[in-house]
Amino acid sequence: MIEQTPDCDQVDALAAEFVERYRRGESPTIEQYAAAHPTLADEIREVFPVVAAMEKLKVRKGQASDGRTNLGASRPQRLGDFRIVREIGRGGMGIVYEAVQESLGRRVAVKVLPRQATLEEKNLRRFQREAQMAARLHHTNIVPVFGVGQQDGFHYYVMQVIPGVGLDRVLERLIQTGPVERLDASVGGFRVSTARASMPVAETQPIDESPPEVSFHIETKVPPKSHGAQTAYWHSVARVGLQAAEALDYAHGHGTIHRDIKPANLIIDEGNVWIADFGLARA
Amino acid sequence: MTRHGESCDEMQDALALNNEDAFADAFSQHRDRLWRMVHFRLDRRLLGRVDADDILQETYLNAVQRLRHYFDAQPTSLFVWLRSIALQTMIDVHRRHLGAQKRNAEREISLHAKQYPQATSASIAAQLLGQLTSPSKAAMRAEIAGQLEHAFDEMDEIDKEVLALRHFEEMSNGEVAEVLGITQKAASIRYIRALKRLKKILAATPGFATEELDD
Repeated sequence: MIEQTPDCDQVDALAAEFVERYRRGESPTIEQYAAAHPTLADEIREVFPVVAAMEKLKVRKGQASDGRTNLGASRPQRLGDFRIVREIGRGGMGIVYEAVQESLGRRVAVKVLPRQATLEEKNLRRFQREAQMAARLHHTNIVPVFGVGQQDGFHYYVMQVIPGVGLDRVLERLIQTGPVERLDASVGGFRVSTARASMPVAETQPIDESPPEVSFHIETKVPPKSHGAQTAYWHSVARVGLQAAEALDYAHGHGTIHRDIKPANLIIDEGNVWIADFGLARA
Repeated sequence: MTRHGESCDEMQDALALNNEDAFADAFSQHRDRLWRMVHFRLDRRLLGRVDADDILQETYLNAVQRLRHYFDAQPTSLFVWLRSIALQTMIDVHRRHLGAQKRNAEREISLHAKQYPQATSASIAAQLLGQLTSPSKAAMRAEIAGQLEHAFDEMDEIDKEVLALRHFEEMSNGEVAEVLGITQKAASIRYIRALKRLKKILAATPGFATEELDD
């Protein structure tokens, strides 16, 4: 049994528009609609809060149950000037792709934020502001930020590609296997060398060739009788700590706070450390 | 008319040439919403074994094989056709994985002359509870889920379905009407009625009234 309400389809059409704007990341208010349509105001005030609640509550794509980011089906193929080559990592804040910036013929890393993280306009403004701050940092131990952009609802952040491995992976490996002589860059499936084969690059624009097999040297073997190796291990740990501290000090001096320093954001490359994800922690 | 309708004619011309590249483009335009549909309706018992991306991959292959049939008949819009193939693919996967077990807990009903995994009270409650994950809320979760499910059981089956299609599958009213085989007017009336009913349900459910409906 369906009771006739004469203005149902008008209210429905307005609700559809309201939802459409909300999904695009705008923040329409119920009162705007009520004021613009006085004859339907009561219906709008009754129904729209539920419409908004449905959109807010529903499980969105990008919310994997394990808290890691998932862009779902909509993996971008291209973002502006950047052609996405492959995925190289993912965390709570987004997915990192290797990409080619076609106008300059260079390889870059593009971090794509999950859509719901950028839904609110004020978060978006903060993201852009912090990316601008991060782009002003020039330090040997901070991953350079080239810029930010947006396309098809994806917000992204472009960085230099660092051919290294996150400290979290290094630690994972150390815990699993115990001290080994040297960890190479294939730890944990992160194979820098395979990028060569799988990455067709615009032919006219040469890409600088980095060595195909990249290794990073944290001296991790602690043999019981080798005093020298033990010293080298502790030295390399200290060097990573020192570099990270200096980079943070530099950033603080420039008014930028990272807010999310953790092993996954410390990239180990040739025994040196790079801090990644400045400007993303609260985006 | 809808945001998904752009360049439809052009696309169908290209498709008519049986050009698989053109079809791949068309498919990717609908992929997000197909993903939502599968994610929402996939049997919870399959979680961890099959995910929505797996189903969509099979859906794509099935659709390519049947493309000729679509152009010979063109009974529906392309999206609705792809969605029906995704549903059929999902049902096949359910059968394959759950086998006879599925038949016991059979939730499919015949709707619009199709076997159809329908929006259930439990699946709607699960969607709405997805965001309530903080530890303090986790304790209340099971209890709230039970209350919500019970409340949804009281709702008209088709109203519930309309609510799910509009919000979880992000369909337009026109598409809802097409999928359910009812008029757009009737679909609108059911939608508004379902929202009013849902408001009462949420207002009576702890954890929702204050936080989610007021701002």
